[in-house]
Amino acid sequence: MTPTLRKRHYLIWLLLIVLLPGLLIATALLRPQEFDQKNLPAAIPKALPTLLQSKEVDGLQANWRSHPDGTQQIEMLLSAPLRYPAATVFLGSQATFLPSQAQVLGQLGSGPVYRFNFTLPQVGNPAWHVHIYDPIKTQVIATFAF
Amino acid sequence: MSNTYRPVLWNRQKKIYDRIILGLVLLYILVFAGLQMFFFPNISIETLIIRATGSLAFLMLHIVLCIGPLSRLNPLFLPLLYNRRHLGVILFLIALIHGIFNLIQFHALGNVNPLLSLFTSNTHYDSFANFPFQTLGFFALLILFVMAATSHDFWLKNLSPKVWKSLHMMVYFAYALLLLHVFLGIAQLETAPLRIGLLALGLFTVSGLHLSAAILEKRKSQNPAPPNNDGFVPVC
Repeated sequence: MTPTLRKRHYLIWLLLIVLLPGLLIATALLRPQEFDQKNLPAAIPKALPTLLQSKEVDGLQANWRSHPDGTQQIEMLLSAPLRYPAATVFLGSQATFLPSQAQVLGQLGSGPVYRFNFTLPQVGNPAWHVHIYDPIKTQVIATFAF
Repeated sequence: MSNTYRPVLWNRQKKIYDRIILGLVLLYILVFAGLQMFFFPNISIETLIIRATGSLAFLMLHIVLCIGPLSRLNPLFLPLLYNRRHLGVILFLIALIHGIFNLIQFHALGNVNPLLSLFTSNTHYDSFANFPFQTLGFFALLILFVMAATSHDFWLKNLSPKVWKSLHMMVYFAYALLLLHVFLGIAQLETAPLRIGLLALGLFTVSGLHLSAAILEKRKSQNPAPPNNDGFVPVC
């Protein structure tokens, strides 16, 4: 080994011996202590007994269900997996989707059935619209008018 | 008469060397797969391949890094040094399989280009604990690719020894990247003390051997061997 190479090896290993054990100890100390449970999907609630309306748009079926105690439910039935990784279900009172004026119900993934329970806000009796919106591509995938 | 380059100048020793490497690689994969299926019966074939190739490539990198200093410490290890480039190329190929399977398993079949997904699925580049470890592995694989692609006398001659050696000394940078790839990746989830201990042992062994070889070489340079009776001085 030439003196130049030897010196280069020396400097590199000096750096590695100082840095690597420190970094490795840091990875052990900074390891996340808890597993993020929020990422786990919640269990799908049961379908409420009363089917009020059913609409279908582009292979997506939305059923509006209700319970005598006043609980409302939007049931989404997917005939094929969505090609949108972040499809989010919103409830709004306007036909045009405005994120700031819509209520988030939940997210759609690759499963066939999704149910979102909610209570209607006390704002009269407007025509409700369910919007499926992709926040990554910022586009409305589908809108159901009820 | 001109000089011609051939992909590999095969001889008996190289064939034996390669056969032994491939035999040991196969043995490792079989033993590893058997143990994984015993302890994790529900493991999928993709996960098995990813784990087997990842652990094997990592182990091989440690062996490759140890060959240099071992050869200086004891001439018995010189036969391993002779065809270290074969070991390095096989190491790259195994690491490539690991990388491709990971890319397909975790980033393909979506609506985002898999390579783009690799860099954008985890964007915590400002966090140490949550640093995208797959990106570290990608760049280490890139370095190993460049080294494997230039592991031939043709490149040594045409790139010039200085450039070629500089390229190949990037193996130490690749080693650092891979240590972090493992410690920020699988070691964050599977925290068995044995696994952490083995990783630390690997680092300790490689750095210890390099340090020992450096001390030995320094002593040799400070106390050169006396000339032989015939007046010749040994230099290498």
